[in-house]
Amino acid sequence: MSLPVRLEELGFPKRHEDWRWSDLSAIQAALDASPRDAANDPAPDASPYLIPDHDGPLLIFVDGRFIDQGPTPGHVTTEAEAHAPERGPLGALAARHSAVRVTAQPGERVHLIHFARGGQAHLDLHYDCPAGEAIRVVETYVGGGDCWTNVAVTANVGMRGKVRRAVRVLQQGGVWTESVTGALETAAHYGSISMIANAASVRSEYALTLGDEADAHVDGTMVAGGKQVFDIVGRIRHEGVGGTSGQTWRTVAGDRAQASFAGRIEVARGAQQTDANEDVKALLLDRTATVNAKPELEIFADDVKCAHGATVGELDKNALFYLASRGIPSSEARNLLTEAFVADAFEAVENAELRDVLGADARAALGRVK
Amino acid sequence: MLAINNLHASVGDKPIIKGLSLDLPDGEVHAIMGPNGSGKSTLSYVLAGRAGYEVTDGTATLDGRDLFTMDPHERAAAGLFLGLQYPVEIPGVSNLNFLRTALNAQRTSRGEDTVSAGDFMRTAREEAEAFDLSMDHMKRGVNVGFSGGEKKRNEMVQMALLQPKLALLDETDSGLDIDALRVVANGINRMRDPRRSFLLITHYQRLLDYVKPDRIHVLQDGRITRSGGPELAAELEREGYVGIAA
Repeated sequence: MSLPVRLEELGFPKRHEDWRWSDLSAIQAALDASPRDAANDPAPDASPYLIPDHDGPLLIFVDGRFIDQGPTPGHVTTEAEAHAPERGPLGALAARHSAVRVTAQPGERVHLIHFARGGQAHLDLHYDCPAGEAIRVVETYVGGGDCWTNVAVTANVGMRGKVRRAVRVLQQGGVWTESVTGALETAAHYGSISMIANAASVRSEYALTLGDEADAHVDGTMVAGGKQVFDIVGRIRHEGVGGTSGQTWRTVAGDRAQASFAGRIEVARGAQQTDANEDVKALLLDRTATVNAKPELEIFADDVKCAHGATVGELDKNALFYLASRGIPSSEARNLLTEAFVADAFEAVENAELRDVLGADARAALGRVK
Repeated sequence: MLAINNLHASVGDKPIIKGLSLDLPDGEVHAIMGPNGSGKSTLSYVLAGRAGYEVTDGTATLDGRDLFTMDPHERAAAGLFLGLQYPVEIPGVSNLNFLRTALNAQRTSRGEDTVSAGDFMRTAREEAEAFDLSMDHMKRGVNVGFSGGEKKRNEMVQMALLQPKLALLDETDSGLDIDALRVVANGINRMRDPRRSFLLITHYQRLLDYVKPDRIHVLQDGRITRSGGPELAAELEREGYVGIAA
């Protein structure tokens, strides 16, 4: 099927509440970028993005095409056919246009690095985890220019299975979009941590459905500066008894950036003893930046705990004075406090190397937006 | 060491310090005592350079250097340490990282070499122990989950590591039980040095039973209304501030 050439073809809703804070107009520049002949391109250098001590498969993609399975091949399969079900315009586009379908195998720690060099790229990722197994994936998105990287993720997690996903959006400029659809069976777990920075425009949607005693955590950090527009639209639906979920987001926005989070928690009839939590905090570095935070709760069961907290603020003046009174110059004090604020979202990451890498990504991103 | 001359300072539009003069020589310990609202904490904030505390007249110098032309972090590097009455909690910044950053920032600004990680850890461990704080406290976020007494002892650990020339201790004794008060007092006494001075700001005589001051000043309504030797503390305890003022 031929690739779309105009923004209007993409079928993004106009006046839809879930789309009100997204600005994907920069996609047009990526659509205009002519398809590249990559045959003579040098192989991209993945070394700056690697995770120390990562011993699983390393998958390298350029503009949506799979080019290399790094030095440690695994059992990752890539098929020249996509299968993502229809589910919203972004997921449908990824299913229709992705060159490959990537299926991660249980028991492995996979690192996928995607280089965007211009134009549109669609990826269709499948994390189907059988009962009792575990899939761990790190996705790193780099490159930049007039590009649009569109990722669809399908996560089906069997009984007591675990899918853990870390997403690093480090693409310099361009648009990055994702749509995650997940179904969690009894006592299954899905956990993701996102580090979103650098891209001109980002939209991340997730819709997870939880069975009995299933647990989902979708956490992340957004670091936005300049005129960047980031938008997170989440939906976690509890359909079983005793499910737990959490959404912890930390946002730093400076200059004229806009960062938004809308997270919906749905508790279906009969989903008793649900324990769901949303914790959204944002730090404004400049008065000209915008942060939107919108929790939504829809509860049809009576024995549930659903908590949500959202704050938007500036750095604590008492803390700034305290640091200064100990000899720390104000720029350094601001850095310390901002990094500490952001690091909060990475607390749940068990792998120390990965946590350090995310922390370094955040520091680099903060260095750019200050 | 510290020379304050005819200091006037306001918070907002409200004058709080109204012509305060004080001379604190090298190596001496002075205490400032005064009732609530007399301007004790304001004085410490003005000297440390907190935003919102405006100097409207007068001067203050540290070793001859004008404090009021310096930013707060420069005053710290020049040797001023303020022990806060209410130390701030900073989640996500470990106590050790905070202290090491502070120490190295001061040293860099003075043109000295930064301290190595090993040397720093050794000293930090010693000082934490001396003030009865565990290494767990040192690894936690600054003051996060600390009791009131632990926060005050943490101020003392910071003072011991930063080795200031002049320590302003703002009600460091409040909120301490008798054992913690002894620990803090021992720390101050241990750091007494011919080249270091202390200004103890306090409400009560209690701390002065353990740390013998060279001079005591009574602060009332933004001015020093009386100065004297250590015996003044006992007199204050007997007569109260009202009696002294007369």
